[in-house]
Amino acid sequence: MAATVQIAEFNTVGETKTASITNSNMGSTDAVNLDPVAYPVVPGEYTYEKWQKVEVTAMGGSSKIDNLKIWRTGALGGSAAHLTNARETSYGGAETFATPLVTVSTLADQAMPTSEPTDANLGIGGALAGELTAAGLSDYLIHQIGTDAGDVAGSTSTMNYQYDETA
Amino acid sequence: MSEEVTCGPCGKVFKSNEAYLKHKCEKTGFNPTQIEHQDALTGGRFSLQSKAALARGAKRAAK
Repeated sequence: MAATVQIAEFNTVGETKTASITNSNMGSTDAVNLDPVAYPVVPGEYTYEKWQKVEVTAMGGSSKIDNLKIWRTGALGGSAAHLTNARETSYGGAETFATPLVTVSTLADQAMPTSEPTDANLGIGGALAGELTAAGLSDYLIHQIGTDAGDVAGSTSTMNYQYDETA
Repeated sequence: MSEEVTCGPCGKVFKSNEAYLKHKCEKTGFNPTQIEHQDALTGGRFSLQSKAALARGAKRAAK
């Protein structure tokens, strides 16, 4: 047996939770599993922020989940920038939910890593050294894509959500 | 914060997380606490990721 882990996303002013999401499509609507063709971003503008958490639904006999690492693999289109609150140093702690912004994020102000970080960059219980010993949730991962006025095409890339598990 | 939880795969809405965790997802045939639920959504890749997570945990514990 092992832990069961999934990604949950929270949307709208009501902090509506959708569990076990199957994509992290980003675009011009605040919705889970959005269709980026139907909701494209105007060049030079921002996608809505994504507010997501790593969720352990069952420990499956394991004792600990920790060392959360978030990164993206694959290039973005044009000069777009992928921004996040995930960071290995000077971590801002657990953020309190706020209605996702479509203007520049005040919390997602770090470049999303494009390779596996050396150390944890998303916290649990407000600390990068935090851990889950029972079913529960990580801190909020906030991320957003900012486009450039010259960007004319979207892109497909992969979000990586990694954890360590201690039996 | 809304207590409601929507199951992403099957779209059912629950009034509490507890109710969500106990439901049998119509898309996967398993409930969200079962590894098979994630395996059904990922073509079995979740189990491989889980094994890798356990290996990393064991390696760090051994240090």
